[in-house]
Amino acid sequence: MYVRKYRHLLGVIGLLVSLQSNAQNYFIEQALLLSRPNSGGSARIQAMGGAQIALGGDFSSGLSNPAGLGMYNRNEITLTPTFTFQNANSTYTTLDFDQNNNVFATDNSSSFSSSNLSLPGFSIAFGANKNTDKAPFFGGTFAITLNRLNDFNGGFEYSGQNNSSSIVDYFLEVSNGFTKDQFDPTFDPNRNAAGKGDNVNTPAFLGYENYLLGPTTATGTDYFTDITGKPLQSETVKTSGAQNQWNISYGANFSDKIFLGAGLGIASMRYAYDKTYKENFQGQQMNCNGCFNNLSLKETRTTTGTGVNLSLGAIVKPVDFIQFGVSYITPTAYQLNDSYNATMNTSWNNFDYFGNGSRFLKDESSKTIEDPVTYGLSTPGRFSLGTAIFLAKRGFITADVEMVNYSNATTNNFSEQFYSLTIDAKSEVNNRVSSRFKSATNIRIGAEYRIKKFRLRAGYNLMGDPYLRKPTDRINYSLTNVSSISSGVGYRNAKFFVDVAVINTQGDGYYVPYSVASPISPYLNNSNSTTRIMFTVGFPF
Amino acid sequence: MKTKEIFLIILVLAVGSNVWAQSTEDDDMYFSSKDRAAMNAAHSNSKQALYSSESAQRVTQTEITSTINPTDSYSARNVNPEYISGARVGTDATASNQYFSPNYQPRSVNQNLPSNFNNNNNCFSCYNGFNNGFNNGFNNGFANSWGNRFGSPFGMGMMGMGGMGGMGMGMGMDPWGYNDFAMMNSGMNPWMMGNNFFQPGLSFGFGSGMGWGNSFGWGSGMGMGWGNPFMGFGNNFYGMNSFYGNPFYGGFNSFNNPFGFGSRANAGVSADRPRPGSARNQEVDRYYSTNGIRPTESGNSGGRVANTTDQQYYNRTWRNDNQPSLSRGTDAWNNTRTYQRGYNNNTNSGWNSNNNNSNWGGRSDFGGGSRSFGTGGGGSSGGGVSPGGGGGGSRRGRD
Repeated sequence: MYVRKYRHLLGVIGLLVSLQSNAQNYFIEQALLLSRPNSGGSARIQAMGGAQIALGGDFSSGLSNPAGLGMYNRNEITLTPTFTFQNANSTYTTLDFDQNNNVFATDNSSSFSSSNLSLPGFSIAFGANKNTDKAPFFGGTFAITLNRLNDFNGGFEYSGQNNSSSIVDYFLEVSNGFTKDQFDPTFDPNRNAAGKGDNVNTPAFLGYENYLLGPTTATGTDYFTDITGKPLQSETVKTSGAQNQWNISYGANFSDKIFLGAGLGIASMRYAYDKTYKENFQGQQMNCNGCFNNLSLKETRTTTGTGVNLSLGAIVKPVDFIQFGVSYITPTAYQLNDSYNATMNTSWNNFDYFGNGSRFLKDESSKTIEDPVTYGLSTPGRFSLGTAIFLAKRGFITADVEMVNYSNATTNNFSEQFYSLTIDAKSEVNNRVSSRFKSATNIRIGAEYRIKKFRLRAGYNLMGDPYLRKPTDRINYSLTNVSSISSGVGYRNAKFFVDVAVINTQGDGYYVPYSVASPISPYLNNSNSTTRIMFTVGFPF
Repeated sequence: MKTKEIFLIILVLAVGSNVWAQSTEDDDMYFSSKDRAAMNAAHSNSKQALYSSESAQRVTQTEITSTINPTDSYSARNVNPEYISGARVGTDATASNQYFSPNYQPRSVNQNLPSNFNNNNNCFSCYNGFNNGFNNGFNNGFANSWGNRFGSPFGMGMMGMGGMGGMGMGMGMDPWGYNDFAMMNSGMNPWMMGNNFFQPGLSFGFGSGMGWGNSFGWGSGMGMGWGNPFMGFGNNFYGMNSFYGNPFYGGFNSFNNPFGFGSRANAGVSADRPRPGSARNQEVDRYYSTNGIRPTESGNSGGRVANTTDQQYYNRTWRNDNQPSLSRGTDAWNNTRTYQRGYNNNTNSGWNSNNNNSNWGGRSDFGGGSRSFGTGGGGSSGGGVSPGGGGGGSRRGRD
């Protein structure tokens, strides 16, 4: 742990930014999360940075550019198991002002690791019917492929002494200004006046139910707390799930020069986080003379859904040593289900809460009410260009450029009106998406060197920064500055092939456990490193 | 002489095949128009070597061992067997017992069919077994379909061996993810579509069977599947939920919406959900109805009131006040914590003078009360809270 100094101005700016409401952040970040898939594909393609738009004869084309399927001259079935190792190095920072109004930053470092085995790839292609009898149409390839677009498995954790704020302060901030009706579960958000029931199913609601805060009068809008110590804070965040896509695609071959393809994509996704946040006040001096020991807040959020899209593509091979590819994947229309559950447990020292002996607090607990929400999400379309230059039969180099405008993601059909009676949830989220994100360019470069039946590969992948304005209160998994380096080997003969790829992806994450106005919200910087070892085993038939 | 010609033919075939094998690109990523031209040329040469050579016409059944394709025939090859027979035994074709052998089966004519260049022509039994596997896989998958929604529309033989007692393994794949454990649902719900319709998944059906010859076989298989690769088997039963009306996943909407996007009503028209009232609120009401005043004024809260003013409850600076009776802004508080000159300097001018923290209460990030903060010497000027329209928002979690 060490201490840094910042300029006072930084503190002021941070304070202002940290005041943003978090209410709709999850939906905004989910829009980005699902709009930003990895390149996907076989171990062969992944070893080359995911570059594949101008290539064919690999099942990856079913996802990215179905025209490439037209290059198949055989039937083929493949499986692609993958080992994933994730590591997050985190720095948890709390901030205070020193005697000269400069901001103190206290950093606490930690790391978290996880691993998992998955089957992110499967394909079957029927492309053995090529012949020149009906030239220029040589035939086509029909393929069904499964690709993993995102792997959400991971997490991070941190801990640190916070001498300036507690999550209880956050509870007070979001509660002040409204009567205790905001915690009334009987409230229906669509039919009652604003300010009532709005804080049901939130951590503040759980704090209220656990006596961490209470109104100063029966009908007043001000709140107090008895918890005045300086907590030791810690949190473990685990994420899980994936985004997969089935593609049913067809690619046609015209004279081995022009390839056209189209496909239907059926995507499915599941994203879940499991957070356990703790504050320990034991040993702290409080106004209530050590009445309180600790709190534990456990949150689980799960989003599942399915979506559909279409893909179109073409590859032109004017001469045998060069290929150009172009593809467009339409927006994916998702239908999503979001479910949030939380439980808070608090430990008190037999505290006479009202001072009249009517209520003694010891081990308190409360949980949220099951309240899933459905909504629609349309991710932006993606337009890609690629080229490949072959060195006779010795290998090739290839590169892709993918353009996507993340601000075009839109939500719709919320089953509940989250935010108020006067502002539509869909419009609010969409406006935030438009203002927060921007268009970005993703670049993928790869090469393969062929030594008879063996292959050596390497690649690089850079995903452009999707943020026009970086929020300070977003969830972790929307990483910025994402880049990958990859390498791999392969062996292939007429009846069997196997490819191995090792892909290391680096990205930066940011996380704020809660937002307070004073002095500045604590925050977490993550440096995420994910290493995937992929195997693709294929059998032509 | 005859032996020499036969040897020559075999050599031509071998060389031709070898040339073909060498020129055939087995990596489709590298396959080019030149490869196809070479492949076609090699193929053509092989056929020519087989059928145009005078020597080839004298090849007998026993002189060439090759696979049998039962679907092939001399007539399909435009080869007159009588001519071949005549060429072999003279003008009296009937003199050859071999020609009229009741056990005769063509063996060599399929050797170089164009469709065989993908190495499916290794032997008769393998090819035949492959077919068995394919059929078994398909049939198993299709048969399952009635019990398992759509079942497996595709089956594919992965491998096969042996003509007699051959074994094929079929794999049915269901791209829609309709799993094998939702039979009850498919029977009870004619639409068979809850939220599952676009729930892609992977469903494998493995079957093994034995076959005779090439026309039939039997197989039995085991179905194994999962609807959604992430959801495990639990997802399989969403269909039942749909039938019985799971309020969260479409319920009876599924009947009216064949695409299964049976969500609840849209924003603004959602139904009331009966919920219990807040016991905590009732407790608060009871307390204040008895005491009439808040605890800080009554002075009866255990440790909460002490000698401080109300403002301390709303000012986060308490978190650093181990000794609340001390006045703020003294260096004595800073001995053990990284705090806080900035707010100390603003005591009672910033945070504490803003109507009991109402400056913090503006949760209306979208359209509600505006606010502006200043820190340092100026303290904060709390923006107004707008508890009316556009004020609060329903939150879920911390994000």
